[in-house]
Amino acid sequence: MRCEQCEKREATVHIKQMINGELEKFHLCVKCASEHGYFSGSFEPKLPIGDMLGSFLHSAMSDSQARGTTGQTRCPSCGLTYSDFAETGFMGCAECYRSFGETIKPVIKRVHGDFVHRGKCPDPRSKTETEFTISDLKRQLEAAIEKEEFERAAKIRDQLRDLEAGNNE
Amino acid sequence: MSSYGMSFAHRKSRWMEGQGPSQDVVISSRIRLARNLKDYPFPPMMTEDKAREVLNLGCEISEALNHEGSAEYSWYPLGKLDSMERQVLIEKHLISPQLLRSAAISGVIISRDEAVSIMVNEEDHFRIQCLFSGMDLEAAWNLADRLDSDIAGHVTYAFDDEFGYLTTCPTNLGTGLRGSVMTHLPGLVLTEQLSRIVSGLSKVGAVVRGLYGEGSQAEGSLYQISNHVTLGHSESEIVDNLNSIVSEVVRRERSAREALLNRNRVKLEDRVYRAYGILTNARSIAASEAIELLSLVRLGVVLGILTHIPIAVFPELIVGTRRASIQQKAGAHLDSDQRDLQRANLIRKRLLAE
Repeated sequence: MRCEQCEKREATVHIKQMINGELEKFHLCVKCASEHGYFSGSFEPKLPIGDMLGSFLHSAMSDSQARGTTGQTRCPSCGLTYSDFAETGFMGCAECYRSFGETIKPVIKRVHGDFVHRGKCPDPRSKTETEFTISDLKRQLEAAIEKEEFERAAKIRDQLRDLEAGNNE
Repeated sequence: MSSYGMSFAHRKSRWMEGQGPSQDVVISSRIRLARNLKDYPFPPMMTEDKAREVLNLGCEISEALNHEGSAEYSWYPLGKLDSMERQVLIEKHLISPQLLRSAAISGVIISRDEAVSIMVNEEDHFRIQCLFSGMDLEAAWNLADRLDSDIAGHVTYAFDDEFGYLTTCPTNLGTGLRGSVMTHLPGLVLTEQLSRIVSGLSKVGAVVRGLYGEGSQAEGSLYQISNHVTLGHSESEIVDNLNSIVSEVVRRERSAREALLNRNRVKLEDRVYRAYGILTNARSIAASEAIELLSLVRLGVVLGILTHIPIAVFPELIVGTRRASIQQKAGAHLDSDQRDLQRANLIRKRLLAE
């Protein structure tokens, strides 16, 4: 079998990876495999970012072109363009997440199944537990409305109202 | 040899101790946190000047982590380590090969027991790694959490209420946490159950790779199991989930070993003793053959077929007979043939010393 990447050398590295719930198989030669980080010798699992995430990112852009993001859209802070990002899978700075955040939300959701952080915060005092619950419920509410689950949405809305009333006391 | 004295090749890392829960199957547990600074471009977009500022921060953090003047943590700018010594750090899993791409502007903080390594200017500004022996993700997470909070007292992290910790690559977004458990699965390999289990694991959010990345048949039946998702769950949920996934793999590996013994004990003993025989007699051995035979001998040790060899010998020999470690130990540059001789000597003497 020939290597899928260079199509020259014999494929001796066979990689199976679950990407988005789909089993993907790659057959590569040693040289291409190590270029893609599969022979890193590190504990870090390298995901084939260049190929997979890249293709998601390109499609996210075409979906969002109507909403104003093009390949030339630039992060005002570091100067990275969306096409640069889609090519490498690397953000340029913290501000990039504001510049491209809305465009890549669907991609983030495809990768993680979610786009809301529920873990540690650098300053635990910056958000109280109630605030956490409120922002979480708001997202659940949006999701329920989106799925047209109006009964559930009404329940969440009531919970929110109670919490917010309590918070203002 | 490093400018800091004794080579890393002569020391054992914490994860190589052969201790901790489920060590019959689990070699080591690792937690990695990816962190970036709010006011600096991420490493791929940094100018050299900015990278040097971050490097200086790494040095300052290393000093700050040494509470009350202890010498627990040391700072190693990669530029000050020779290429062989850098390679030893990779072989011991203390740094990633990616860190070498920008060796002039990267560095690493390493704790005295080598359980902690904090890479500076890798894909993210900081990669906090805690690496323990056996199945001990909680201990690794607790330590990583504490170090992370310590560091957060000195710098301002790039963080967003919605996306969490902002990482260079969105695949690490949120918690920035990747747990990896290195497992030894010869039972599942020999009973040909592994590929089925690997595809099963990916359905529950785990990524499985060989020690060096191959897909189905990893070197020495060593596989690392990691979480895929980093966003949308708390750190403890991610750790708990990975824990229960690995526990299930451990259970299946144990019953596969049991089945092998029940099916044909003599045949398994024969394979183990043959491997032991070659390793204690060979005068020249390639790395790939050595790791396969060491894997069989390790299986023999945990099954009680070979009773006189401590389990800690295996990580020591697996790392110690890699390309750079073997040369640093010998104190000389060796070509491939010379390394095979040296490797056979090292393994033979080590196993016969027990």
